[in-house]
Amino acid sequence: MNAVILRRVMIGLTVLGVALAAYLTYVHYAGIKPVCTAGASCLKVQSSQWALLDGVPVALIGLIGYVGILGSLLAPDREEARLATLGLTLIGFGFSAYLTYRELFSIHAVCEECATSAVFLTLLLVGAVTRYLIASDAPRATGPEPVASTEPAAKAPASATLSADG
Amino acid sequence: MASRAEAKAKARAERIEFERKLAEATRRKQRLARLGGVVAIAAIAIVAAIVISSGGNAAKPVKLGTPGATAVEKRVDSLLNGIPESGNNTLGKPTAPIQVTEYGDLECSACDDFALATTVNTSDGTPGSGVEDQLINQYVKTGQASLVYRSLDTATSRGATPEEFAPQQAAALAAGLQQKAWYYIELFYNEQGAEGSTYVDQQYLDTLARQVPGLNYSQWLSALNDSSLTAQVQSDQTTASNANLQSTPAIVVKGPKGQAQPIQGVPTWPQLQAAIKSVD
Repeated sequence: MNAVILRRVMIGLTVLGVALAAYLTYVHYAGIKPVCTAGASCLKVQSSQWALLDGVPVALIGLIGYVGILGSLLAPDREEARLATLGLTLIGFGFSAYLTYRELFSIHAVCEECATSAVFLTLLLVGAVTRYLIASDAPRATGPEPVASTEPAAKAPASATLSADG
Repeated sequence: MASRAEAKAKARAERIEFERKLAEATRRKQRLARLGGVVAIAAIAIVAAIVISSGGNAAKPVKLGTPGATAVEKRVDSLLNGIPESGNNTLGKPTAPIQVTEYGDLECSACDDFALATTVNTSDGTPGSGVEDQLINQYVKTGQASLVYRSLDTATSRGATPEEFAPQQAAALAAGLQQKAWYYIELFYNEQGAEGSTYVDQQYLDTLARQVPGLNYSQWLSALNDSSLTAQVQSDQTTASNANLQSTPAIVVKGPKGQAQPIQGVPTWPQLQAAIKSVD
């Protein structure tokens, strides 16, 4: 996939994640029941001990995380930004995986919004890894490789390559 | 001349190629180091979040065989050991002149406050009132009063698992069939989780049963299917409703002089003593 398209898809997913986390944060502070097609499952998860991290709602932490990912995606496309996206999505994916484990094996209920967020974070992590691997800050030599040649013309691409890391 | 120039160009090309490869390798190493750093930071953040999540606000339920579980078992045993228990979840001498009935919800944090000693923290982190301990030590152990437990759903129905009310109360009644209801009730309160959370499940109820000294676990387990226990829970609720009891713990004191005004909420020790004296 083209790097530009990949980045746009990731921005789209992150915006959806921001909306989802914002909704769950609102639900938490408003003290209302989340929209849920699976009966009381979502309420069960939302009111569980794992819905708070040291007193802070996990939904709010997720919202902050998604906003951070969005910021890193909107930043100029440099290695630092791509690394930040990768790091943030990795943290989000890891904690989301832990919460999914808790839902399945401790709470015995699955929150639809949380599961959706877990899917978003999984896709974002795959996207972030792919984006990091396929991109490079090094200016690409446009000419031929500097093979051994008697012609002085070989100098141009060679010096261009050297300057890449200078 | 030509061959010398060729050799020079070749050497230059080789040097350039070597430097290009060296630079590429250095750059790859730098990227790998940065990536490793980010992965390490992410791993630390994830582990920290998991540790906080599973430790900081965890419920009190303890694991069998751990020092925490053993301490709870000893505490409950030292309170109840030697006190007879008879049918209908009655602790103490069934013919005692004073009968104190507690209407409780095993998930209710106020009931936890009533049940626990001042030296023990309740599920919300505050010390227990010590009132029930005083009642048991001063009146029940001495044969002056009996203590009866009845079910009244308050906190559980407002929590995340309202469907657990009947099974959890019936689990205590099932222990009562072996004259161990009060051990089960006290263990439940001592290991109560955060009110409204999801800690009560079959595994939690099983763990409590295994902590009750002398309880036949298989008998207890098969008694859980006894529909008369859930019927008893329902009957308790109806009785409480008829008596207009709306919160837990609700304490009803009866004696030779009749019945005292029910106390709804955690009583202070002087309040409870005054209620007992008013009917004695």
